[in-house]
Formats: sequence, C-alpha cells, structure tokens
Amino acid sequence: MLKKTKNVNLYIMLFIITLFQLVCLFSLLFKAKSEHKLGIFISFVLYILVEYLYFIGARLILQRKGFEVELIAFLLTSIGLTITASVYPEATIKQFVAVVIGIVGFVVLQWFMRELKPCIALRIPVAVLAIGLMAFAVVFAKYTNGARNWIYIGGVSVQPSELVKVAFVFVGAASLEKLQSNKSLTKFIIFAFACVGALFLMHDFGTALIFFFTFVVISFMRSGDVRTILIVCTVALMGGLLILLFRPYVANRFAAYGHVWEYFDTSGYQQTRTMIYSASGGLFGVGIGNGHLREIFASTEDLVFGVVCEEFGMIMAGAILLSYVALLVYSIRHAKYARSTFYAISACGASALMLFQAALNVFGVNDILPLTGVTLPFVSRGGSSIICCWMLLAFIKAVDRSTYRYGGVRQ
Amino acid sequence: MDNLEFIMRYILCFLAIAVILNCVLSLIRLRPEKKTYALLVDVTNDEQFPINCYETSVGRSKSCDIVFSNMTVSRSHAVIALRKDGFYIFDTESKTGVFVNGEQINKSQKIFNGDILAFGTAVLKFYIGSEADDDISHKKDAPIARATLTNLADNNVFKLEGDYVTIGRKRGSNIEISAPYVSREHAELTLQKNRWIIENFSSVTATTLNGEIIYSPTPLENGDVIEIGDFAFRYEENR
Repeated sequence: MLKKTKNVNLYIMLFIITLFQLVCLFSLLFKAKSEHKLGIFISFVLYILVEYLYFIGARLILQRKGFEVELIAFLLTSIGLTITASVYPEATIKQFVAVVIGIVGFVVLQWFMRELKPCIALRIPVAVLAIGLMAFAVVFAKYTNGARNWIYIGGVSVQPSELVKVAFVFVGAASLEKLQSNKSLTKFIIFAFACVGALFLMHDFGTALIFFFTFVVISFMRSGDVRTILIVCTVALMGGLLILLFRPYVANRFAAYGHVWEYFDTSGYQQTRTMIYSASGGLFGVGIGNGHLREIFASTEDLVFGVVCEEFGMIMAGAILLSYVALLVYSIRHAKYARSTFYAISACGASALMLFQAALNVFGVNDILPLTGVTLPFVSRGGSSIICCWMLLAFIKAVDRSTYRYGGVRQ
Repeated sequence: MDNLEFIMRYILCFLAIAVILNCVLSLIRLRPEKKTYALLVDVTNDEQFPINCYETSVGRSKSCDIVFSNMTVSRSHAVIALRKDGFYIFDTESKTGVFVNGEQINKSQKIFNGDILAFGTAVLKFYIGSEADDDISHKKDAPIARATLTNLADNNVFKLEGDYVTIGRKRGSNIEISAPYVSREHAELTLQKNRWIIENFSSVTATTLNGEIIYSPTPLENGDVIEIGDFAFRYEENR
C-alpha cells in the first residue's frame, strides 16, 4: 500500500516517441510524391534532432528531472507535423520552422522567467506592445475565412491574436503588482477588454471567447472575488447580446449551430463530414493518408481533431484530450508551492487557455458548441498557433520549482 | 504492403498511448515535495505554523495559508515571502499594520531568525528552518532514526520518510486505503521539530488516536494506535 511515485523514465519515453516519429515518417514517405519526399524527410529528421538536443541539454547540462510536460508537447507536435506533411506536404518545412521557433521561444521564455523582477518590470511594455499589435491588426489585417486577423509580412502570414495570447497570460499574472496587496482588477479589465474588443472588430469570435475565459480564470486567481467576476461576466454577456441585436450578421455565422444535419451541404458541411469521417476511423483509425476528411476545407486546422479520429483512431484522440486535462491538473497541483503567485497564476491561466481552446475545437466540430474556427493546441497546422502553444508551455513548466536552480540548489 | 500499413496503425496507437498515459499518470500523481522553510510560533500558546510555501499569506480570511480568527487581524493582512536572499514580510494593506520587533514596517521588510512579528494582537516568533529554538517551552527531542506505522491487521510495516506522509483513498497517497468510508485525503502525518504530528482532514470518518477522536494536529508518541474506520496502525519510533 505504501506507494512512491517517480517521474517517467526520460530515455524510455524518448525512445518510444522516436519510434512513433519514425513510423509516421515511413508512412508519409511511402505515400508522398517524389518531389515532397526530401522536404518531409529533412523536416522529420531535424525535428527529432531538435527534440534530442533539448532533452539532452536539459537533462545533462541543466540536470533537470521531470520532463512529462515537454514529452507530451513533442508527441502532440509530431502528430500535427505528420498530419500537415500528409495533407499539405509542401507546407511541411514551413510548419517545421514554426515549431523550431516555438521551441526556441519556450526555452527563452523559461530562461527569462527564472527571476521574478524582470517579469514584473516588463508587464507594461508587453501590455502596450500587445494592444499595439491588436490595433495594427484591426487596421491593416486582411479578411481571411471570415475574420480579419491575418497580417502578411514579406510573404509570411502572421496571426497577431495568437502571439497576444502569450502576452495576455503574462500581463494578467505579472500585473499583480504588489504581492497580493493590489487585488484591484481595473487595469487588467481595461487591458482584457481592449484585447477582446479588438478581436470582435476583427470578427475572430472564437479567440475572443478564449481571451475572455482566460481573463475570468486569471481574475479569479488574482482576487478570489466572485462578486466582481460575476459583474464582469454579466456585463460581457449583455455586451454580447447587444452585438447580436445590432449586428445580426454575427449570429448568422452560427445559424447552423445545434442542427448541422439540416444544413448538410451548406453551412453544416464541415461539421457533418467531420462527424461521419471521425466515426469511420474506429478505435485505431484508417491509417495515415487513408482518410477522407483531409479533402474538406480547413481539415488540418479547425477540423484536425476529426482527422486524428479518422486516421489515428478514437483511442489516440481521447488520449490527446486527456493530455490537456493533465496539464491543467499539473498546474493546479504545483500552484500552491510555486515560487511566486506570478508563476501560479500564469501556469493555471496558460493551461486553462489551452484546455478551453481544445474544448472549443473538439466540441465545435461535433456541433456541441458553435464552430468558432479555433485551432487544437500543438496539433493544428499554423505557425502562429504552434509558436503560441510552445510559449504558453513555458508558463506551465515555470510553475514547477524544480525547473530552476534557486540559491544555487535545485529544489 | 497493405498488411504492413495495417500493423502500423496499431503500432502507432500503442506507442502514442504508452507515452501519453505514462506522462499523464505521472503528471496527475506527482506532487511537489512539501518542505518546511520556516516556522511561526505563537508566543502566547506555543502553537506552531509551518511555512511550506514560497509565499505564505497571513490573515483572517479562510483563503489565507495561516488563519487567525482574531478581529484585529485583517482579512488579508500580510505575506511572508521566501526570496533568493532570504525571507521578507509584506504588509498587504492591513488595517492594524505589521510590526517586526515592535516597529511597524512600511510595505515590506526583510526578516531574520528569531524576529518577533505582530499582526494585530497576534504575536509570533519567526524561525528559519523546520525547528524552533530551545528557548520556547518545547523540549528539543533527539532526532528520529526510524519511524514506522504497522497495520495491526496484517503486520504490514510502512516506513515514515520525508517531511510528510499522506493517508487516504486517493491514488498516489503514501498510504492508500481502498475503503469507501475513508476520505480521499483522510489524514496527514508531518514531521515537525523531530516529532511526527497527525492531522485529520476527513469530515466523514473520524481518525482516532488511542481511542480518542483527533480534532487538531496531535504529536505522536511511541506505541500510539491510530484508527481510521476498521483500519488500525501502531506508531513506533527509534531515536
């Protein structure tokens, strides 16, 4: 009955992940056209190298022990990279580069957060930069798939709202200025509503909902004041209703919600196909590249959960969802013993954001919630999304005090 | 080739599940190690408040880590924070202020071993580490070389290691009891001042020590019998 729990064995897990990646690579190379094979091969081999470089550096140089968080992220990213290489082989290298940028961002942000003072000092510049970026997007972004949230810089498209997610969590946690003495939410409310308002102007309602949910989580963790949060939620709800009243085209976007089968070949096309093909995958899937959902628009982004269900099977899809829940449980567990409330709030905010985003994606394609077009963290194709996910992971990693040496000693 | 592809579907699923389930179970089961960084000792009754977190809130509110029901203490009165260069106390806008060695602090101040802290009329002595000095009324016991709990039903022996041991139905408890009337987090044993202290967390089934219900943290003596429902454990220690 006396039980002791240990961290997973890094080397065994790394070996299994590598096997998984090699089996995926073999499947991809077998089906890919000859002109894409080299790109896919290089991307996967370099990805595995980056993975080993990270783990060996962290284990042997930094002498860290717990790697569960990163192992999950690397596996989910592998699944996403496999789906991208399978459906859009020409985009594999681009996606790989975004993954590497994300991993570098993850390492740099972890390193930056080793001390509390610079985090607190940077909260206002980061908030100003985030609002500036959103304002820039509102003015200059182009409409893509119903939302005005893409900026094109030198042939590269960037989604500012994804990058602002990282800033949102950072500012929300760091603006608890005077160590639990300033529980006023006024400044954070202004910042949050500026971000959410910009997203409404950009017609990116899914991301606006994610920001609002994260705002509620962070506000509650900061103040513990249920009354203030209820007032804010009521105001937001009334604001939402007013928007629906005076801007009926917003409601039209969700007209098929709840009865997508009545719009089988029109506005419910994506959801109905996702449900059909997801079910056809069974427990173990039909195999990489054998699915039909890949033919549907946005299959690697909004509908990626359906592709996982169809090609990898329901069991793996369920396990992926479980991993988002585990990240939140892990953050909550470590919050009490974190080095500061900043780490506790940012970790819980980041993991809650990812879980909520995953829920919106999964329930959206299954018509349990309206389809809002948000990505599945780590799995969906998209550079901005994958960079954001890896950087959010740094907050989750930082909550564990054993991540850092403190006073020369690793706790 | 079709056969190979068929097999690969199962291999991929097996490999992914092996990684995700191992990591998820580890993330859910693992708890951060609980350490006592400092102690606050109430000078009026020698009650001890261990400081186990990097930031420990003190106040009247139940959400605080250390709670005083005294009306002279604000709902959120102060925070004791462990920083790289030592401990600091922060006044979190309390009404009656925070005093260190009789002097009111302005926002924050570094505190040292043996400092006297006052929150309203609550006066406490601050000790760095998990043990208070001899100058308080407790006598300092010799270190415990070995402490065990023996299940009297099957003589199974559990060695008490580290700073705390959890007892409950919850998976991952140090002593896991699979019985419906046992709470998920039923009781906890903590090592303080070289003594194991038992504390009951269950509101469903009482924890008794030598036949008496435990209402507050109680130090264990060699030979004590702890009962949780039908389960009985004898505490034994060698110093």
